[in-house]
Amino acid sequence: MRIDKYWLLSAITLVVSVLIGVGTYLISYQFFKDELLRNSVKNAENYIEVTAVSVGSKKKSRQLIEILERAPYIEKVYMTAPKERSKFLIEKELLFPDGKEKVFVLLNKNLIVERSSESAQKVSLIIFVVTLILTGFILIAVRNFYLKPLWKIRREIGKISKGELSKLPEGRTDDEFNRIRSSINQMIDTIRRKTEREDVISQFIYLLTIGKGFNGEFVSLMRKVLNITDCDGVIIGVKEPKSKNIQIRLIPKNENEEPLILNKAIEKLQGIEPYLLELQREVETTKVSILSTLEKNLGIKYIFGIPLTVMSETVGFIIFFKKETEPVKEEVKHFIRNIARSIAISVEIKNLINSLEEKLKREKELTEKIVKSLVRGIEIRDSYTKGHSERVAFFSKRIAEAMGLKENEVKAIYIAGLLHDIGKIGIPDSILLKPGKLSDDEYEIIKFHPLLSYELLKHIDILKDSLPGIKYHHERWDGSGYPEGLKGQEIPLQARILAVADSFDAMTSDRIYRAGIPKTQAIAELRKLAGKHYDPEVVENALYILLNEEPPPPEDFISSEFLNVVEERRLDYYLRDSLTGVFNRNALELAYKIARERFKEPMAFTVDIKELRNINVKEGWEKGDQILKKMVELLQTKLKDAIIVRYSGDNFLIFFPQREAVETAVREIEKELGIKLTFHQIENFKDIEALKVELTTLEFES
Amino acid sequence: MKQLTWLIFILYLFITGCSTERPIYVISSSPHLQLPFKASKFFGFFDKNGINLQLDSVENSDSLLRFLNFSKYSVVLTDLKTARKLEKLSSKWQQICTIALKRNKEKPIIGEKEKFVLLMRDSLLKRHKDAVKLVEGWNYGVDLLKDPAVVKLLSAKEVPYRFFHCGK
Repeated sequence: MRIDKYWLLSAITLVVSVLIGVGTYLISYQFFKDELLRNSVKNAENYIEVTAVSVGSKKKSRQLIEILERAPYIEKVYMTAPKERSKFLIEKELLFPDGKEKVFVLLNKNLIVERSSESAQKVSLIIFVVTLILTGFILIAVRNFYLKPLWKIRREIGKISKGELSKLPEGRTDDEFNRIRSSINQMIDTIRRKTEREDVISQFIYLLTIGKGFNGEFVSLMRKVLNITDCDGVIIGVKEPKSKNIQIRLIPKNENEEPLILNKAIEKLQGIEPYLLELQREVETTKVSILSTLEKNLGIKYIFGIPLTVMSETVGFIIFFKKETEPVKEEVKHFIRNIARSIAISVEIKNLINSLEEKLKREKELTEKIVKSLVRGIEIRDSYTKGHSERVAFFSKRIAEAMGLKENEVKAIYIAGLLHDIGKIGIPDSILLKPGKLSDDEYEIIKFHPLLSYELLKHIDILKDSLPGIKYHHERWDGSGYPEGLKGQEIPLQARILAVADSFDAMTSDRIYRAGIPKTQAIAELRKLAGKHYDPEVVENALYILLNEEPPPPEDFISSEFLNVVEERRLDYYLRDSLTGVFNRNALELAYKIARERFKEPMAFTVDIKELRNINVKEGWEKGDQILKKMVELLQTKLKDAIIVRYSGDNFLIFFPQREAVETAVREIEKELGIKLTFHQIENFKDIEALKVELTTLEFES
Repeated sequence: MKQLTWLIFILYLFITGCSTERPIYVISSSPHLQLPFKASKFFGFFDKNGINLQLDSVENSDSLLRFLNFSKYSVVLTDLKTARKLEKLSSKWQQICTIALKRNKEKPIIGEKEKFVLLMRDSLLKRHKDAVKLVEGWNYGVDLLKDPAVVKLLSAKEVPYRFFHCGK
């Protein structure tokens, strides 16, 4: 049992009852004592008077005393005054025909006191019991008539808290508890209305900030507001960002009427709308004359308009209207102001988000453009890599997606794919553009390119996540790769994926000195090297993608025509002899490849100008150069489609399928130019290496 | 507060309603001596003035003196001799006025036995207002007895006394 105020009150009541009992005893004891004494005195006096009348003579005093002393409340009767005086002593003067007599009657004090005490006890006990019973009744009444109804109200409030009850049940009587219930219900209604209004406001903010804008949900919500505010409709105007227009929405309360949407120039606004926008003040009026034609046609009689203002900037307006002149209550106005504030903030947030999104989009595009520009940089330097980076990026991205990597990891891999060869910018043209196999030294230089790529990009924050792939894409699963010779899982996953995509594209792409191999063959190669060079899991995930998916064609970031011209010029500069225009020594392998492709059975010949050195010395370099140029012109005229390589100062290599034609042409040129030429057919040129050996031998002999 | 005021008012009415007027007991040595008081009482003088007058009489002076031991009596109507004796016995009694003479055609000289007086106990004299009203009541009764019809109404026989206004 809980010790609450009721039980405390009960205990106090018991104590008070006991105190009342004790107090009653003390008071009634005194009262009864006085009363009994008074009555005893009175009775004694009466008794003395009656006795005196009946005795009737002074001479019968003795008889008088005897009669008096028989009375129970009289203790003693004296004829002379006793020494001790007290309130229990009565002095009485008696008259008789034969004289007067004085008697002194002492009342029975003990008897009076005893009776007084007995009476007081009885009375105080009765009073105590009666008080206890009465207070008990009062307490029971308090419990039944006050506490129980209050407990019931408390239980029902608990049910309301739990959601089992929506309101307190109200009876028909007009007692205090029904009034309390009614007050609590009113409070609940007020709280609910407030909550409902707060909900509406938060829903406005949610709807507008998540980008749903003034859609169907907004209209439904606004109709809810119209019901709460008891208005007939609302007009909402929201300025369009970066424009001089305003979008106006008219939402009627009636659900059967469709909302009206208008797009107006701000300068063409009528009625109170421009006032709201320019003066940024609330307007409440019943003056129909100041309304616009549209508003008049709607039958508006009362408006309450608020500008939508955020940080002293007006983003629009909101006008609640009624078709009667009765104004909205102050409480409703407060609610409308809050809604206006919420909408204004939401609109501003939406504008800011849009602006931010646009900025982010521009930054993303800028990043992509920068990355692509970097890619183009290496493509310009190395024609082989043209489209390679984008293909590797595409395949890497798809493999990463297939392996279930997160979106940001996939994005990082894609960028790594685009930029993995950027370090080739630092590799000399002689290696980069070399159409043949690289020497060991050259290869050692090429191996720098992942580190160069890393060093080039490591300070760019937005590319930080892509650095592992760029730096380690030439590492191999068995540790045979470079730059650090990492093994297995030591190699970042990004790099393992890039390695597969990079190798696949390298195998399937054409080179100057060889054609790319078919996809199936490349895939077979990858499978063969899975677990040796490549991560087997990556290879497994990559196979289907590599076989079935085609990367999109690379964007023409730079004009291809211009790029071709540049590429041609660079190749010419590197591969062609600047004096004669034929291939130089650098293009030996290329010339060999072309000859093999152009002629069914090509033959190789060397033609040397004898004593060109003497001519140079005697007649000058210009004469020598003239002879060289003229000889090439004649060879090209006489041997159409012949592939000519000036592989050293006065030595030329000619690929042509007919020996006689070449020999005839050589003899004719000797005559025409008056020079001596050495003609020799190379028999062994089954491959480029054999040809090089032959040429070196001939050079040494001459 | 309003309820408390009502409660106090009701209690006041209850207390005042319970209070009763204190009676004044008159004793005389002859019943005829009381006639003026009876006349006034009959005509409602004492009721009108809030006095509850109770009248007793005894047969003779000796009985009168014995009965005066009853302290309830505060007014005595008796002859001058008994009155003087009473004044001598008790200082509580005071002669107030002569109220009657015995009608005696044969004996012209009036003695102490033929002259009657009104005495009051000191306790009544302290109640000055009641004492005055009592005397007024006596005088009013004397005036009423001047009407023979009144005398006849109160006493079938002829009244053997000539009553006087007290204090004149």
